[in-house]
Amino acid sequence: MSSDTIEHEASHGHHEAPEVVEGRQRLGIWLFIVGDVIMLASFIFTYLYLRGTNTGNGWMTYLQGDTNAANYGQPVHEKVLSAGFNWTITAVIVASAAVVWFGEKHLRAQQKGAGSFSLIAAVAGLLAIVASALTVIQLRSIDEHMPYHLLSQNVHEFTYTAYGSAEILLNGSSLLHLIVLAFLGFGLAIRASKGLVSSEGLKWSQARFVRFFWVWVALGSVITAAVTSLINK
Amino acid sequence: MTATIDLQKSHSPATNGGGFLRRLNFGTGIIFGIIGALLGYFLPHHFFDNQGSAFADQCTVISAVGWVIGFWFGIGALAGPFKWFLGWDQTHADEMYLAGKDQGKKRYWKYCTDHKVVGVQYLVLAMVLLGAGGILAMLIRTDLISPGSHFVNQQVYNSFLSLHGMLMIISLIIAVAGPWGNFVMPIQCGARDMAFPRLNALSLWTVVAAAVPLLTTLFIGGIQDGWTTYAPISIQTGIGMNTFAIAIITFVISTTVAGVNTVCTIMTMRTTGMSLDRLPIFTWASLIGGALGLYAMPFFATAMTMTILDRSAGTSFFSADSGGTGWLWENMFWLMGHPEVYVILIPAVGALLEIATVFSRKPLFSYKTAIGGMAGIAGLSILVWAHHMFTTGWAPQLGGPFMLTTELISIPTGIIFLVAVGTIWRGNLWMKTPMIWLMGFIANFIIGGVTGIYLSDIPVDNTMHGTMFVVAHFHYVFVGSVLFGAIGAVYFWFPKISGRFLDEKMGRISFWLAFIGVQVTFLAMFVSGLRGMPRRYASYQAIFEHTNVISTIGAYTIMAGMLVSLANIILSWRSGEPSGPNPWHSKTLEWLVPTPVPLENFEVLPVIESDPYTYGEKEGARA
Amino acid sequence: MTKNNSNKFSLKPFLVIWAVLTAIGIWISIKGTPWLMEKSASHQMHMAILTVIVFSVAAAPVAAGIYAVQIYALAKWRYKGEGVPPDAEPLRNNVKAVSAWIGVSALLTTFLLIWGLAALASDDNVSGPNPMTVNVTGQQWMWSFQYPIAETLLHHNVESNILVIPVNNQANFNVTSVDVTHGFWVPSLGVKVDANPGTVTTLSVVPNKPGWYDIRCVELCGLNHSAMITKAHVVSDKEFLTWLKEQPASPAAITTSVKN
Repeated sequence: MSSDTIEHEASHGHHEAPEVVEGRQRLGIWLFIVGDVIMLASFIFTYLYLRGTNTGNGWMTYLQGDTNAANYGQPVHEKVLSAGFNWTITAVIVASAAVVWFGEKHLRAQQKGAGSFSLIAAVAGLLAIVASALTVIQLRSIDEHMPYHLLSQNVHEFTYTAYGSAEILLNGSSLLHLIVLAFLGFGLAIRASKGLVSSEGLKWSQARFVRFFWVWVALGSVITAAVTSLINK
Repeated sequence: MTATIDLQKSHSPATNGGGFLRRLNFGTGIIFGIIGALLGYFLPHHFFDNQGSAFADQCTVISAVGWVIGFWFGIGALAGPFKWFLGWDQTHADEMYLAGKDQGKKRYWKYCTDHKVVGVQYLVLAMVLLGAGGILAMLIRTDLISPGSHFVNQQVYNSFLSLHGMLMIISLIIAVAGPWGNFVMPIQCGARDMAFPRLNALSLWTVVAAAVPLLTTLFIGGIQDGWTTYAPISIQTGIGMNTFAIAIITFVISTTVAGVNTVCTIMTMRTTGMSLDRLPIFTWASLIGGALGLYAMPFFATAMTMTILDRSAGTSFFSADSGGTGWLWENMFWLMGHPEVYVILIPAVGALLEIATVFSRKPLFSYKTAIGGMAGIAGLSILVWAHHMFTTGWAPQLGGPFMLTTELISIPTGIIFLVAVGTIWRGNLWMKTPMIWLMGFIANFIIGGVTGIYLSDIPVDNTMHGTMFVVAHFHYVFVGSVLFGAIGAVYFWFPKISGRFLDEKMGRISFWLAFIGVQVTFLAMFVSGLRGMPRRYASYQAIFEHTNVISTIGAYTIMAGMLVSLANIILSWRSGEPSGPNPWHSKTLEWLVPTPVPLENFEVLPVIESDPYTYGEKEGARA
Repeated sequence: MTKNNSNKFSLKPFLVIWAVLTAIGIWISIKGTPWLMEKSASHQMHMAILTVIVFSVAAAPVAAGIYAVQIYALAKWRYKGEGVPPDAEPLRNNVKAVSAWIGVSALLTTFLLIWGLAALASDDNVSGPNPMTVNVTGQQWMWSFQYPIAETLLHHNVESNILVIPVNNQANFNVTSVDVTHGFWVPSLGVKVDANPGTVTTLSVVPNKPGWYDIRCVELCGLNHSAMITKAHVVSDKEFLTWLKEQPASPAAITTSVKN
């Protein structure tokens, strides 16, 4: 096992054209997005499946588990998450995607350097952070309507209904994606400020890859918002 | 970010500079992993009051996640994204270092990006996991040697069989696609490495990161719900389920990364003239298997995420008390579960078809039909999942359609037999060990395939489902077929990685022990099933005793065969007969490069003018 | 490796091997299956046994064909010389063989599917006189059977841990679980369905042979899964009524966990 001892001649430069490398990385990004599409599809399948099955009529209804004897066992209807708030989050995500799209166009339009791409990418990253904060607020709002039962001394345990559960899954996944987007946005900003992302050669290609993913996340959040606001009760 | 290494600068010393990153290896991975796990366990204890009923679950989940992140950090997997973020791109020397230049054997313990190193690491990892799963199989069979044996108690028995199942699934997913999909496939394409070398290292070490919490399950009470972890019992079972679930999610990350990498390598890294209709059949199999894995595995991650949430966050995906249903799990699981069977099978078939041509000294019979067969299996496999659910009561009206899709799979599966038989047809059969394992595969896969047809038929499935018949059926597929393929592939390609042959005699002894063992074990198990013995029974009625004793004896025989092959690999690696670069006189590219294969594989990239199956034809002009 | 050495194939010995193997396969299918499988006590189990026989007979010539090629190849085409064998005569493709193979497997598949659908339809349309409902409840790790008919006849609930049903009458099972998923299976009756918490699944069967039969849980349900077995007793109408009357009144029917 001594392959490391084999010397290559310098004359056999193993250069690959940047276009070839770029094309390969582009396919890689698309394939990762395919994996992510299947992930989202499985979440939406879960949401619709639970809604469709509605086992024991428990999609949004729960029986009061409070120790208060008067209310015990009474059905309570959970509230639907605010569609307006959900669409607001979606709008922020779509706006951030638009900023990245615009940023990439701006970058490629430059004769030299990165123009103000660094700033634009940072703005997109900030928007992703705003959207994550809003998603956290939405996640917490699920708790407000949740049934709970008193376990032992003063310990309240939540039990989410199927609707609440599916919303947690969708919002949790969205939150993780937004954190990744923020990472990518600020990463591009730092890299552009160091000249590693610019209009020269194919140095803008990373901005393009990030745009692919960003647009997909925005599209995914639109699909999610549409499904959850059209089909919920 | 370029995938290949610029050799013009390679004379700069690759080991210059010290730095934290270059000290990282498997050992530091373990240390940081343990630190992460301990932090994950104690921080919640410190910051939260531990009165909730799900507190133990929450702590184990966080602890297992802490292990994975700590291990990734300690092995150096997080360095890439971190450096990208800060704009500290790797220098050429860094890339050479990562590829393991001038590090001798140490690179096998590191986050090494050389696809050949990753292949060897995968081979060892697959053998370790197979060994662990095999030991559990022996313990299970020992417990079943008599009707009321209390060799182990029922809780331990259930943990053994659950972990045996999952370990074997994981090790068979990586058994062919891991070692040979990494070591051989890029060379077969005429590539200098995989498309994304760092992701390649990530996929390997992520399996290691998954294996540890998976094995840990056994030591924190085990799980009581089988490898299928049906809900709601998966919610009820002990804290081992949390580490199990995190292990699965981690493993899904690995297969996704590996699937992307495989597909990208084959689609974009082929050398001049290597058109898709000249691609060696194993590379085709890797492509189809990789793409199918990319489709199937995310469902598993979703399903396990829901299990974790149900256990530790109060959700009710699977709890019928508040609107959930176990059928959701079953659908999710089998959406992954059936394609996954073919993620396991297809690469093994590809490897065996390579063996068939080389050792029959004939071209592959009906190359395009073979590709069509594998693609047909993959395509149909995503439409058959509910045949695992015929008796669950879910959607009885869908029984007919799923029976149709399931039985249709027998057509492309038949094509695999046609290609194998057609290749052997009137060939000059060179009965070396790889060819013997191929013959064993054909014989066993017939039985595995035919018994699958019974199970696809609902009236029969109403009797057979959940019995030892099913267990015997899929063991004929996994042990008799896939494992035979995997071992055949080891005997075939071992000379390429080590420069030495595996011992023929030991190989034959190993084969006959395994082959006879498979027949004895699983034919007897078919009878147990036909007589009505349900699977996963720790003790059974006396009427099943004879067949179970026979199965246990057969299982020990298989283990003996496996140990002979293991000894063969260990001994031959040190002192086997030297083989030279192309001992089988094969025509695929991996045999035309020197052994040991140099870093970057090719001095000059070859130009391909025909497919590699020109046996007996006018010598194809291959550069 | 200069000259192609072409191996011969003669049909006659091959056909002999194939015919012998097929005959053995068919003999095992017809004689072995009924001996190996659980004895039938219902139409469903009868269909299952018959289907296994039919499928085995259909599969026997196919499997025998593959085995015959293997045996023939190992006997005749094995290279016995030293070193690497010379290349054999290349055979890239044979459109006729491929088409015939795919055609035959498609025909076989069609046959299997038609047979399967017909058998399924005949299983689903099981009906017999005096349909009686039995509520089957699985819980860790026991089965319980409630007889709503007792409320009509005797005005009290009857619950039992063994299943007693009258022969040649239709029994409808409503199966559910109170904790985790169990699998309700009466092997000799050839019926099986999961007991899912929160949902009722149904089965119908007309037992046609009196006797004691096993009931086993077939869905892993935790610690004592393998002990979750009980008996089914198929009896005459008269014996059933006698048995029912002998049962003590159960305090209250366990309501199945279906919530409204």
